Amino acid sequence: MGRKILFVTTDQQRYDSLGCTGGRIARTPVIDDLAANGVCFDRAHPENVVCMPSRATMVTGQHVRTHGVWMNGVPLPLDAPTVAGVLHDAGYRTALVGKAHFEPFLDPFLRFEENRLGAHDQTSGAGPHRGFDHFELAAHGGVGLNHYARWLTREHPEHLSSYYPAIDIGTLEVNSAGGGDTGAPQVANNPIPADWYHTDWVADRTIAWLEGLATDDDWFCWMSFPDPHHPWDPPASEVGRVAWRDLDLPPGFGTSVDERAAILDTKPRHWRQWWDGELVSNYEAPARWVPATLTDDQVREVNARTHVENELVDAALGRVLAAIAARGWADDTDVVFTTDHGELQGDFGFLFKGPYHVDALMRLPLVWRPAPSTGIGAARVEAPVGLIDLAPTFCAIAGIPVPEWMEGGPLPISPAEAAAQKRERVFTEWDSRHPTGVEVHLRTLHRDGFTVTVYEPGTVHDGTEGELYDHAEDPLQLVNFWDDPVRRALRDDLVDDLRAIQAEWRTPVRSPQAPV
Amino acid sequence: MATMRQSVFVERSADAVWALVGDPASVTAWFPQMVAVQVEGNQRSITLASGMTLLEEIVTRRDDLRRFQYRLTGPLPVESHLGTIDVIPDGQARCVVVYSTDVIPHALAYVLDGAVGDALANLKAFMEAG
Repeated sequence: MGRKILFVTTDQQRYDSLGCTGGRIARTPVIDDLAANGVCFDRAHPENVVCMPSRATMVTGQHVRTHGVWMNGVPLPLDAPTVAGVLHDAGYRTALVGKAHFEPFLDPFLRFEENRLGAHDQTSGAGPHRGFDHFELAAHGGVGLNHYARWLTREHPEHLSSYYPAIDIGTLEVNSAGGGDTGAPQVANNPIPADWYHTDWVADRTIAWLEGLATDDDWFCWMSFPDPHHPWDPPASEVGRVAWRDLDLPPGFGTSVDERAAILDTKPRHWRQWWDGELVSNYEAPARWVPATLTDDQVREVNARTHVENELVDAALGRVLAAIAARGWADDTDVVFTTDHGELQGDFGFLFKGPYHVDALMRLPLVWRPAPSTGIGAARVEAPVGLIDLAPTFCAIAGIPVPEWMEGGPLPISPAEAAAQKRERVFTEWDSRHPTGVEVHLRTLHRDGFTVTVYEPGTVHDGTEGELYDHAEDPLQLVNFWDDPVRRALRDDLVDDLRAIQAEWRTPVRSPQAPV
Repeated sequence: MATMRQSVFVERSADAVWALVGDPASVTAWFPQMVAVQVEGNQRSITLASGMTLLEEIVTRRDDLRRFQYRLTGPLPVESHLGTIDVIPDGQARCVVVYSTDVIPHALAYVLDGAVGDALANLKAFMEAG
């Protein structure tokens, strides 16, 4: 009997959202306890800052240009190798409960297996899909081609319209309609009881799957919460946990419109163009929302609701850990908690995400609580690591050699091991091609406390633009040193390093099959 | 308006391919995920495997040009749509099928174009197997 693996992800959660990573609002005692008894990583980056590419990296252990999911809407190839497949072949029982998103959501032709399973309320097909024996899927609301929507339709149809529609069904764009107390986009009051909200459903279904296993089964369960990704519509009964009027504005928001404008003008032009409502470069934010209209109170309300959603995730995880303990598995279960990417959440005057490689989107919470039976002690690791390292870590936990096709390595359990592994850099990239023809391409390296981003030619940039941030001097990334002659040698060194580690693209580059 | 275009070479004559593609009632034979079709005049309804029924208006069916055009009219939230299929000979026993999609809203462009990609691959396999 080997170590069991509970892999917990959220969607679109910032590094600074947890107690163990410096957050002061959301109460997250369960995750904080995992961090206190495990390894907490302070510089974990995704390889891409939107869902599908990042999740494809997590499940394959590969860079974006290897697995080929280069933007939302590009499905992970059916023959892509996965860590779930490796574990399955080694005898593990495997499940994914919650949000998968290896395949597009918007699928009226029902072309994709995840959607077929959800639409037909089946937990498995002809065999394992992407290595998972069992799927029970959810997304960001009560409708869609997923099991949660089917369950809600069957059990609580009176709440089908309780959720905010994340997609405007008239335009199929991300909804820009405002609500709540401040009219902030994607904020709404949701009358659904907390017990029926998707966070609790994901935990309930995870527990049900675990209860169906034999005591001596080895298992790998990816429990994937859709929150705190917008819409920000937690159950109304829980909204009072955090009073938005009492919140300070996030330090990255700036003190005035003029200050925000001045900061944005030092960055590549798409920052300011989006803020002014002059550019829609990607699908992941409401096309009809102009960030410059974002008010102080809207930022407070979005943040408050995000904190509420994070508290609900923490409590749900606590229930699952209790169920694991009740099965007698507590000492032999590794728990890994992270997210797929961050959220701007007010920084620089923005919400949502896009081609913006700053800590808001790139610095992620990552906690690994090794199975207590291993005797591995608590540690904090500041060296850079990536989500690409998760799949190899799961192999290492299971005692399986890391396959050659995985491009990361097992996470270090201490600063000393991080140094021995020469953990010095992490690479993130962005590519998008909007149906209107707008193309944006970013390549980013984080090393030695600096983040450098180069822009490849697209329809917005000519290839000369870039960003350089010194996190020690400027932790909020307010000052772009790209054109600073004093730092030119540093910039050149970082860019050379970035170019040296860039791999070749898997060809042919595949077309998006949906916007998301 | 988002505009997309895909094409595929088929190792069969243009006339043979057009006999299938130009028949609005035969779409279920080559377009995946389409399970039933009804044609009445210039109105076509197609039932998808998902259960959704697409409503279409046939705009053009020209044997001389081997061109078929249609508009989606519902239930997808289409503000404007035109699908165009051209079958163009490339010698006596080979042709190229060009499938263009012009659509508003933009968000539908990749969805429709992705399905078109499957359909053209399926059309080629179907024709060349026969």
